[in-house]
Amino acid sequence: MITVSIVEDLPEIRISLERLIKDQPDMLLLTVSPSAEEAMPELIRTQPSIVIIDINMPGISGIDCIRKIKEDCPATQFMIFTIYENDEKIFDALAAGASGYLLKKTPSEKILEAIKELYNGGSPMSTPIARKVINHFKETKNPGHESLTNKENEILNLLSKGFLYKEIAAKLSISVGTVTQHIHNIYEKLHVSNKTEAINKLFGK
Amino acid sequence: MQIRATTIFHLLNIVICFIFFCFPVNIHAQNIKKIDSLKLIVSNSHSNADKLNALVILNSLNQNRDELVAGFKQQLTLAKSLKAYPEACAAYSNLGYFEYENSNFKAAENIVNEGMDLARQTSDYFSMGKFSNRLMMISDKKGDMANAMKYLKQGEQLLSKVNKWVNLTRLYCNASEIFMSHQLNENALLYARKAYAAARSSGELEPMTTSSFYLASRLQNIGKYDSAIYFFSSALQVAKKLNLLYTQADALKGLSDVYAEIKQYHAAREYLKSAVTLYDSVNVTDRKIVCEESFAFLDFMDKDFTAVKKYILKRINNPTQDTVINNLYINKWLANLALVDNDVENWKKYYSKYEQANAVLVNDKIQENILVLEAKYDLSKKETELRQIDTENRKRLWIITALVLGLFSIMILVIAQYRNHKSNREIAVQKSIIEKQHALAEERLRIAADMHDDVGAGLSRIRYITASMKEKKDMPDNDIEKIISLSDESVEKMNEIIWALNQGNQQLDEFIYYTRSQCSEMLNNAGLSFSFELPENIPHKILAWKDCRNIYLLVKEAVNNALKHAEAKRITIECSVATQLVFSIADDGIGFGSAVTGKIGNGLLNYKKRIEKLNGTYQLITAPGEGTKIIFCIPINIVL
Repeated sequence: MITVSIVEDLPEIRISLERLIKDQPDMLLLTVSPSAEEAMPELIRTQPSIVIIDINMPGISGIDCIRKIKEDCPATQFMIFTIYENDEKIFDALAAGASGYLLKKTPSEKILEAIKELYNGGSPMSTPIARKVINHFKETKNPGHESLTNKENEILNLLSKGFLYKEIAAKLSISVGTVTQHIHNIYEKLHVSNKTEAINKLFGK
Repeated sequence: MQIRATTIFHLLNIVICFIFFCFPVNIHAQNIKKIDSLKLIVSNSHSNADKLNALVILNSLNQNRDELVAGFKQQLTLAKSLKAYPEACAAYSNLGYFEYENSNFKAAENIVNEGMDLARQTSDYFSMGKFSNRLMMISDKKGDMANAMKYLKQGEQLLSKVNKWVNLTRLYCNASEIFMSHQLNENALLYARKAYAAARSSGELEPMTTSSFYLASRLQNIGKYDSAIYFFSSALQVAKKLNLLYTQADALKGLSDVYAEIKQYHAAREYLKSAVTLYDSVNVTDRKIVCEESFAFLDFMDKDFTAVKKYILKRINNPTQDTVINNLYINKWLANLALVDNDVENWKKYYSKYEQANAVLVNDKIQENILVLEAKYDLSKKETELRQIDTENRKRLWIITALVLGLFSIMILVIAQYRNHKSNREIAVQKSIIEKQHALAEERLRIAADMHDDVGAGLSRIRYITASMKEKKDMPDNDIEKIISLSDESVEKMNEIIWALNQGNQQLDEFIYYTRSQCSEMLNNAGLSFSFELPENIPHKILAWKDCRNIYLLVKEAVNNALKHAEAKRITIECSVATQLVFSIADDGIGFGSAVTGKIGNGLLNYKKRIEKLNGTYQLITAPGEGTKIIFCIPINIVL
């Protein structure tokens, strides 16, 4: 059973998403909140497996919400819910602790697929984001965090050149599932590195 | 000459009495009642604070010396226990004064030094100033002129710091007195003038009369009789205003002496008479004796020898306490009378007696003079030291001023330079801002056009479909599908605009990769097999964002057309970069002939429009049943 919470300020989108999740026999809807402020204590209390969260909300943004409660919800996967794939904020949210993103135009069945995929350890990553991740690890060469493995670097490189998961799997002779697992691990390392970077910045290392 | 010496001596006496007078002497009847009730409070109050308050007032009113000594001792203990430091300091000051008055200089010094320590600890500059004044007088009495000068400077600094003009006046008066006693006439006059200035600053009458009197005495001393008369008169007037009988008497005596000096004996006698009347009213005998001596002088000058003889008899019958002075007076006038009578023998006799008495005084004087000489030496030493420090300080001040000025001018220079530099830079910045604004305006128009054409068109189509659905009251699936796909398209177009805006000018490789990812996703979603070959080496170039957008739309449109219209199974995309950027999109679909109409014709028109904007060319290779290949060539020189 995948426990799911929704944080979305637009009522139409929130309600339709709520209805969609409620109808799933293998998913359990825990909480639905119209703002990050209301959501944070609820999420910490209920510890859902997946949180679908909008980036742009009045008050605390989705990014700040993730950053604030990420540590208090160690088993929770955050999935950003956004209109545009090219939104600059997606990378910020991923660095802050999200492991996946979902476009609002995505059809219902694809949304459910993405939730299950994320629950099973898979994560989507677009070409521009792959490039940003590469740059991030290049720029923050500090010994405090785990560096990427060769395989992970290879996958990131191909991703950044516009190759699909399918194409990468074929090129590296691995399964698509393995690719998504690698990507998921890359996200985990990104969270840790982003956090150490933030701490280093804070303490003026 | 002897007469002159005695008048100076008289004056000294006047002044010494005057200092004593500074301490209030007269008790008013209404104060007695007050004092009694205050005494009651002091003995019966349970609160130490109340007790202290009453005691402070009581001590300021009480005139009984013994009670005052006890009262101030009590005030000191109480104030110390209550940590009321100013009251404690006041008590020290008064106790010190009593000891000083009784010529117990050592004891006075100890008490005042204790008070000074307390005042210093509590940063009570006012009390420190008062103590300095007292210590100056004590030092002088001990013959330590150097220390007296030190305390004078210290008191002057402290009291001017706290703007206590009344106390400053007292300090200056006392200093003037000290200088006078050491016959340092110039300094005595200087400090009398300072006292007068301080008194004026205080705006109070009591210091005015005191300082006027001092200044007048000093002026008389150096023979400036007109000025002396003026200041004695003003001291007299102010003393009258304040109803200070003693001071009035002193001023009158001073006036009398001045008029005697300028040989206006009549006026001198009138003033002297008034002075004696006043001295009588306050019952001060020693001052009266001095006045009588002056009368004798005036009588002698007026040739009223019987009056002089009467005076001599009076002196013989009522001798003063100081027998030496008494003898001096008697023999002086006996000798003078003998001289008038041409009685040389008697003159010799009396004069030798007078000389004897004078010798005793002079002996005292000699000792005093030795002290004075030493003091003078110390003083001049001290003064040279002070002057040296002064010049050094002035030197230092000059250096500091020069440094400050130097720094200041450097700062001004730097600021001016900076401003100049800034304004030059600002002009350049403004120029580039205008250029940028111009470019931005162009871009804005482009974005507006894109939004209008791409997003606006989709949204208005959605609007019309839903409006017609509302009229028909039913929802054909077809229309709903259309709405969904139109919305998705609008979002997608918006996404592209956002991408272009976010990216701005783009790296060529990044752009090619992005195009690849978008095309491959499109093809993958459509379920077609495809290949998208990337160039081996992509040169480091930057594309302008509007060019990025046009190239991307060209490629995407070509792929889209192949997907939608070619009925293809496989699409092959190739990209190469050399002197120009080349994209070729080939499909294995149905192809078309040379006679192009409708949708295909529109599509080709779109390619043409876009490729013209890029100054590029396109080549179409197709025939019915043989698939389609379109090649876009974009010159690399359009690459920024």
